[in-house]
Amino acid sequence: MKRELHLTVNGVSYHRLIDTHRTLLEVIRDEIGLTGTKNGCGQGECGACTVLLDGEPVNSCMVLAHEADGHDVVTIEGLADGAVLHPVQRAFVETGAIQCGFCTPGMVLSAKALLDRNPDPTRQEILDGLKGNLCRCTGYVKIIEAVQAASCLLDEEEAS
Amino acid sequence: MEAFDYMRPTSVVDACAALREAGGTARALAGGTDILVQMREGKLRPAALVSLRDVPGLRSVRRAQDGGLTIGAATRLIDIETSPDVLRDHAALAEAASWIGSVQVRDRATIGGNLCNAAPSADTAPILIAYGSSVTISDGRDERTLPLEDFFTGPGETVLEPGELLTAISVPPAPARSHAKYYKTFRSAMDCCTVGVAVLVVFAPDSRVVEDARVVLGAIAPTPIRAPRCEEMLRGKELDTALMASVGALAAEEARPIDDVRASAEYRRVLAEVLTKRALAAADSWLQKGAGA
Ligand SMILES: Cc1cc2nc3c(=O)[nH]c(=O)nc-3n(C[C@H](O)[C@H](O)[C@H](O)COP(=O)(O)OP(=O)(O)OC[C@H]3O[C@@H](n4cnc5c(N)ncnc54)[C@H](O)[C@@H]3O)c2cc1C
Repeated sequence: MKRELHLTVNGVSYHRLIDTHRTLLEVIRDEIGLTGTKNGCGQGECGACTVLLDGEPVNSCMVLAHEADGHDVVTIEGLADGAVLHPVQRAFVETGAIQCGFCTPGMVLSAKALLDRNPDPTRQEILDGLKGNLCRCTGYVKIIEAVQAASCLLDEEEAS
Repeated sequence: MEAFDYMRPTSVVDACAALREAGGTARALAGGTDILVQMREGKLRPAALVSLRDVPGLRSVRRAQDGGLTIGAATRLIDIETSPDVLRDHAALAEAASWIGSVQVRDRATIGGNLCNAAPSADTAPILIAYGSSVTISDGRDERTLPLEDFFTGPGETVLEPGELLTAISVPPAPARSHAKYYKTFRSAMDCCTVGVAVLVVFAPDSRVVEDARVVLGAIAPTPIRAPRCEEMLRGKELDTALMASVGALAAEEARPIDDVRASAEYRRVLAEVLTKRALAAADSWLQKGAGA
């Protein structure tokens, strides 16, 4: 069964006829062609498919596309401002918080959402905020440092 | 995922009608964090999903004058953990919600979905039962209300009939001089609990005597269960270390756990004992510190 779907993804409005059993992840990757959002476990455990839905992180593999009808989605492709990386992205690059990179899009979006809610998180708050994002390479040390660095970068941006 | 019909009604009446008309295998869709996983694994093949997204009135927390809460069934866990109305007198419910899954899960998952999915380990059930909560069920025409502890009939099973929706959860005001706490153990942060225990203790005025108590065990029987013998043992006695130990030991006896991949039955009994004692100790230390004053 197909149904009209309207999504705003990274500020661009899309109208498509989409099967009702498609997930938001499938529509983002296969219909819209943005493949930065990764398909990991398919069960909401790993967070590789994290996108921001109305600013909140969700696992796009566990959201039916039509449940997001009329709403606003931000994927990793929507974070940078042209060639200028978002401070969270910059912090991940500069800290060396990326190894294979598969978890990075989800990790960065979860970190951004955390810092939007809580600009100066404690270490424990960072751990809680990133609990739904698994990384098999880094051991998380650099990732936590990156979030702390991002928090400082955002503070500086605020101040300037 | 296999194809299915998808409907997005805009009232409880229409949602119930859609569920009835689609036949026995139609299911409500709230956050989808349980049902979509089950469908992808092929454990469930509903002919239709009836989305609750656009049904008004199901997604709110209201606090009455007397301090009781009415929580819409489709209220998200993230909204429960951050609700000032919940945090005010029912902080143990907010805390239990905040421990579920990840932010991504709680941004979608609803309290009604947690209850209707009816996992023996559902994390909001023990604390809601400890608070004495009841649930309201609608078939689109009539409503019925029953205690939450009578809602569950087995693993994954509830009293809900086809065409019925859980619409609201009513949480009574927290009694004066009462302390509630939920403790759970889990293997990893994202796994469901191996055992969960919720304890509500009501102290008599100006004393350490327990006037009333509710002890609720999760993940330790086919449904969340009350431990009536523990409650009986607590009533009318002063809460001291010896009583905590005896009630804990009794909780292990009241449990009817299974062996599974998460824990052996024997280990679960030990956990029930430890967590019950811990929740009682929390009530005791709250009293020592001046009963929240
Ligand atoms: C990674 C991960 C971690 C998790 N961790 C935990 C955890 O730690 N503790 C825990 O308890 N759970 C956990 N869960 C399970 C799940 O997130 C919760 O049970 C959640 O609250 C379910 O709510 P939902 O809105 O997503 O339900 P859905 O999946 O939408 O629905 C679940 C079931 O309830 C029915 N239903 C939903 N709402 C209604 C209604 N109003 N009336 C009638 N029927 C209804 C549906 O038809 C379906 O059968 C986890 C899940 C994931 C994916």
